[in-house]
Amino acid sequence: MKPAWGIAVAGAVAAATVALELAFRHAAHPVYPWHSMPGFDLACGLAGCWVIVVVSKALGRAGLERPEPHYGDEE
Amino acid sequence: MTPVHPALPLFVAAALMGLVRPTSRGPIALAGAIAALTAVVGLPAPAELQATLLGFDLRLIAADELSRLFALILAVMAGLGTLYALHVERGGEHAATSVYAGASLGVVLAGDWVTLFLFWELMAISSTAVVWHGGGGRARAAGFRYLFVHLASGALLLTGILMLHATGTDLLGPVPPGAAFWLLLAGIAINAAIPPLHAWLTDAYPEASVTGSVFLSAFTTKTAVYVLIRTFPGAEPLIWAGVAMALFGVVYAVLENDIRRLLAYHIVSQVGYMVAGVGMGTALALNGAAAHAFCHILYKALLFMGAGAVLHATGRRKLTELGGLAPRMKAVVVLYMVGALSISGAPLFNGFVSKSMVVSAAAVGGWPVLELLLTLASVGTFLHTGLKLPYFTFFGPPAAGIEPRPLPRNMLAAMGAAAALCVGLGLFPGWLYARLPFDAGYAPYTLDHVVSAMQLLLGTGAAFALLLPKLRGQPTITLDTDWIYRRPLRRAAAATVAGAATAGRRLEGAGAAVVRAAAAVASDPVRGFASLQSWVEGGASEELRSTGYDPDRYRLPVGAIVLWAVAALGVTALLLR
Repeated sequence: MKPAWGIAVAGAVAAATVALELAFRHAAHPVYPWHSMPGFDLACGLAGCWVIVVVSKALGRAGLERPEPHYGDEE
Repeated sequence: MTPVHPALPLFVAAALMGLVRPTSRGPIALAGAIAALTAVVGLPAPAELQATLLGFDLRLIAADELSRLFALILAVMAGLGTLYALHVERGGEHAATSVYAGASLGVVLAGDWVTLFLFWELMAISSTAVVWHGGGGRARAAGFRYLFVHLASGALLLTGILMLHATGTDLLGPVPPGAAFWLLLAGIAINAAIPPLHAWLTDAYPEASVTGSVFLSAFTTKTAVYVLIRTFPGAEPLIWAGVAMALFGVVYAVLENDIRRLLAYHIVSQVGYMVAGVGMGTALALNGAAAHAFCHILYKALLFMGAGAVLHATGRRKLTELGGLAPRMKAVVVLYMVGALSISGAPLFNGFVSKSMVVSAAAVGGWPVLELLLTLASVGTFLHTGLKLPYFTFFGPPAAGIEPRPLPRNMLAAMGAAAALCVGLGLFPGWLYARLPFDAGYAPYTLDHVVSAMQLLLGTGAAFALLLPKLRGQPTITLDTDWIYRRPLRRAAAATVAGAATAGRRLEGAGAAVVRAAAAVASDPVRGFASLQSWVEGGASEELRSTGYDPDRYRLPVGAIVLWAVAALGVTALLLR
């Protein structure tokens, strides 16, 4: 599958899930306000992924990441 | 009827390894695993098996629904792992994995703390042997570090168990508050890989052999989860420890370049869901923890099998050295992706039916922050296991000079069986739910659960596409808490030994100088005193130093010490007769 097709299919499925959320709002059983916000999990995936990558890379630069081999003396 | 302990066939298979031809070792190990599974399925209800050891009444089997659920999946896992390793001819590795699997069955079927402890320690020793069978200096060093951490876990557990024993509690059950509570919790937390006590896992698992790491991925952490469910349900510190685990694994996986270490960080992350479930302690959360452990064993084994297949075929283990393998390893790609979609909680796969239980338990139990943070960890899981690892291994730019060799059929068969179970449980979760130990109804395939899971995956996929250049593997390693015992503690230990040796040598030298001087004086007091006087005035004379006194001449030879020891033993034996 070409990338353009992949994006189109993913976009269509995403749109369909939001449409389903809007259409079946009455049948949902939310516990917290974000459970009834259409597209919340879409945004959560997008923003969450970005936050994870940015924070982890920053921690790596702050000293967690070391060139190999770091513990070379024991190998 | 007295039930057969399901560990027994595995132990027998292990004992046979040295007696049979190399080509028969895999089939015998597999027969042991199948017999163990048969014994688990055939356990009568209620199942009881007792024995006495050193004055302790051991309840070797006291199986309720929780024990049965874990024993079932551990025995299935022993079968899958052994099938994957069927071609292996190293008897030591088969023996180690069989004993390891048998000991884990011993833990989950145990009815009292002492039995649990005995099998717990057997797991530690046998799993260390599994790590060592990775071969080479790295595996040996990692195995020693692994062993020391697990011996510490055993020591904490034993101290807690003896304290409980002193209060008259021997049977397994929720631990009352007190010092024993914290000792036992710390001992079990080590095996559950709760940070900062987790580094043994990510350090050792990637150093085991291709087949050994599949076993390692399944048994230790999940038996710890079982013990937590049984003995620490509703222990609130575990909620936040679980969230920390779930996110910790995700953060480290971003930085990881070694494919099996990346997956190992996701064991920490996934066990975090189970630990948080135990901490919540509601019926739904505990069921979620048990169900997630059940499903996790299957998909994580499948993922380790996939990574192992890549390593077996190419000899490479780093994202920076891999790429473009998909056209030449089609079956592995498809089967790996089943595991990846399962761990990511995609609908129709088994991770969805168990992970969503824990997340829902957080929502309905009144922990909104917990729900959001577990959802965030879920994003990270799909990002690494479902997107980053397969993209840079199978689909990304092809690596230079890579020529995968064909895989043994049994490896693919084991992956196929694990994948079938992942999909089967995803399609028919009712089978699993009917076996869950606590009374809580849950429906996974509701519109909001499915829509929510789909959106999360699609959002993550979109972010992955945008962030792709940032996610490429780097030829680096990441410092973790094992740094403490691999650098400062290791150096401190070396410095202490060297310091003690130097101090000892100097002390002995000084003592010998005094004795030498005294010997010279004693042998000829007149000349000796004159020399001693000149020594006090201006340093030791040649005469004083050359009296011919040699401290070694007056030492007892080792032979004499051995003689005394034998004599003492002989007398003791006579007295005890």
